[in-house]
Amino acid sequence: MVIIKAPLSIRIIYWFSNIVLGLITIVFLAIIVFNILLYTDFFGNDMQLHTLLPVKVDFLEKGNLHLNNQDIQVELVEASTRIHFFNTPNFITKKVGLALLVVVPFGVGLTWLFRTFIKNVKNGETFTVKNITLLQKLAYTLVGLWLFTVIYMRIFYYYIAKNLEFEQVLITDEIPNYSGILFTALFIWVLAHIFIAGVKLQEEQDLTI
Amino acid sequence: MAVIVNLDVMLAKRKMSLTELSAGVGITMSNLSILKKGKAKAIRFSTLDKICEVLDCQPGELLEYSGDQH
Repeated sequence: MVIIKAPLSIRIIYWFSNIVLGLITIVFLAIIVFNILLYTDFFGNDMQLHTLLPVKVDFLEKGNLHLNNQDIQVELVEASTRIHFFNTPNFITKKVGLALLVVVPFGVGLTWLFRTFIKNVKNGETFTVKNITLLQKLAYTLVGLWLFTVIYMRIFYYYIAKNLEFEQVLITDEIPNYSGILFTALFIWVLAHIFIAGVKLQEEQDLTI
Repeated sequence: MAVIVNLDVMLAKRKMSLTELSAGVGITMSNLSILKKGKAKAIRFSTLDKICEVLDCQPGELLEYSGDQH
């Protein structure tokens, strides 16, 4: 039996996904510990929380662009940003901790599914029913992640971002819908269906004597 | 499948084993077994050619249309 070595790109992606899976698992364990400490009031109200604002902010800042020995006047008008809480109240930190406890397992799951898929491809098992199931699970997990992100960001907006007040900047109300995640899920789902056709062709090829 | 492969019948007629046929046509035992059990989805002309040559028969003697389709 001739053993064909997988292409270098596949082997690199496989090793990379192994490293990412290891790191994200460590992050997940750290988040579990973090949540335990949060719920035992270890941090009190002293957490210095940095969190992403789900909406963009409007502001006006004049500046210069140095290009081709020219000074071009520009204005900064919109930006994505984070907010920093000084001594975050425990009830806010707990909610963020809980959100992390939900979102990181999605990351672990996605990386594990992707790693298993790449491992199968690396071993020459590309058009198999096993891989179709993996691709479908990847797509459904991505849809789950998208749903959670959209709901969480909306809650965050109405609960916190909407009530923020600054002197110089204006918080917009355009909450992103994270359609990129949904389109990726759709693409993977379509890919799973292409793989179903591939499996049928592979089976026909294998059973042609 | 409505088409039946009469490989076992032809092997019996020629008093030949599957191993001998495998060596004669250069096709693995597992592939010939798939063909014999009627699990094959298709058969190449080159395969049919080799089997007919070794068994000294016509393709019509190997393949038979039974009529009842599943």
